Amino acid sequence: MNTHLKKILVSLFVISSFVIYSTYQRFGGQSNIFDNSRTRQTAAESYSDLYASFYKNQTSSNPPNLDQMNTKIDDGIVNNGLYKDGEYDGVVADAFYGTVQVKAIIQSGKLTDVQLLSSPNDRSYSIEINNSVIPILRAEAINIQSAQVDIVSGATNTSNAFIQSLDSALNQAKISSSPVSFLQASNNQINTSNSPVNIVSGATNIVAGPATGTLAAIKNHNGAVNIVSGATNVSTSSTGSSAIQNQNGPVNIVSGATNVSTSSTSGSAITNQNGTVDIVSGATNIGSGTASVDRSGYYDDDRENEDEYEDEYEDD
Amino acid sequence: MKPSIKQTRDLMGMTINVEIVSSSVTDADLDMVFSYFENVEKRFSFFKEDSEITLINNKKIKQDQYSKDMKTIFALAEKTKEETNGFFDIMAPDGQYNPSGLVKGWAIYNASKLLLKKGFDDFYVEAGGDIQVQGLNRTEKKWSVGIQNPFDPSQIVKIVYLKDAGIATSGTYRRGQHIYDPHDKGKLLTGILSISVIGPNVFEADRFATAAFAMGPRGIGFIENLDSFEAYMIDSKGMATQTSGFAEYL
Repeated sequence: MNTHLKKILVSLFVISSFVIYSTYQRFGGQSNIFDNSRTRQTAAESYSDLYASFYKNQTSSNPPNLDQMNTKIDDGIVNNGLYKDGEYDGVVADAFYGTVQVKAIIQSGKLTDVQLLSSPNDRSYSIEINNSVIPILRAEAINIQSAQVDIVSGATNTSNAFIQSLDSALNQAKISSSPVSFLQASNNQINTSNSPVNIVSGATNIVAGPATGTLAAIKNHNGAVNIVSGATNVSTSSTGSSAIQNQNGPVNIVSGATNVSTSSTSGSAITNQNGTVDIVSGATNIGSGTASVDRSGYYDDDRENEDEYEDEYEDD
Repeated sequence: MKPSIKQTRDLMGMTINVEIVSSSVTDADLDMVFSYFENVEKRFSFFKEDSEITLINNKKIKQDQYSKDMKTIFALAEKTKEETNGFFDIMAPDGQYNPSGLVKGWAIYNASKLLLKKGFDDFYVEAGGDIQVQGLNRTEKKWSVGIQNPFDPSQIVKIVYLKDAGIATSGTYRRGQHIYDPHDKGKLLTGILSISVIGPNVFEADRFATAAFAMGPRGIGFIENLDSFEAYMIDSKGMATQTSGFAEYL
């Protein structure tokens, strides 16, 4: 059997086993992270109205030197007017003993709200505290201290996870031609042109569907789709859709376990025209309703355990 | 200047720092502290399939089968929930338990008790920004603790001087993220970036910092009404509010 055939064979093996797996995941079995994020939305807290009134009576003759503090902030992430309106769920980020997930809300191109979908300190927010006479407390603008100290107290861990989740939400909202990078995308399609799609993740799920019409979980023209992952699921259950639809750019999947599948009737797992599809992996599952890889470009596969799949060859 | 040993280890996604002011600290003493944290992780980490908390959440263990430590944490959680009118609740809406708001401070406090038992009087144990201090530092002064600038973690914005006390900082906002009022787009909104709570020990400080943070700007009022606790709260406009007894620590 020539190398070309071997390669198709390997991918096709995965298809059949993975169609079953992905169908199970999508329509039954244990709830996936999407279900969890929907459940948690009922406990979401909005910061937009809650605190505005508290501060209207506080004054300071010393407003904070925002320019000084903000030099580290304007790193390209916060760009007024460079976000698309909508709501974007960030990745579920690890804050050590728990996870943090945020939802960013963009209105008129600006970030107007950040909702906590989950946090390690996720608690019931519905009970108001009763006592509430709060005396006037001393307020001051914060000032950078230059003295040396023995130890520092900060909320570093949770902050990092929060930032990680918020950054991923904002990345989805960004209107720009810069690369789309995801730590983890949840329930969103990636639809972009000319930019690379880079997914570097321990666990990424990108799902489109169910719907009719030609959707793709990742649709990319002219850019590379790079998935470097321990476990990436890219799937769609729509008719006529592809899990990855890419024209002209390479699709590179370097992974310990990448599942690229579709259970659509006339879709492909990877539809790639004119570009290379390189899959270097210990276990890549490419599942599809009809074809595994449909491309007119060159398909190269360097899988280690190719021989294992030799008997599963199926013609497409 | 007295002799002291400081050791830092990255465990469980956190940096843990221990400094002991003494000429007789051994490797075994330091290992004891860090192993204790490893054991806590084994029991409480969500990212381990076989940790006790994971087994509990997968309904593989019943309440009467919980370990002594787990029972302690659950009892403390219940007490904290009552004291905070439900703002602190380790049970999530989906029925899963997450005691992380308590475990970090509790673990640090226990680690410091281990050192006290070994006869050390002057030290601190710090994990992920929460600290228990005992005695005095190597210049024989109170331990100086800097409160991190939530806008820039390389800076500090306030210094407090502590002895035999705990401090915990709770916070979860993007440093300086610009958030606009949806009703008035030109206007920046205020949110709480962090609240640092000082108390008789880090366990107490941690649990109340967690609850106070969840309360938003009212959190500072909650701490104000709590005996023996002081706090310093920073909002997204760079304004800090302190409880009326906080100045004692300056």
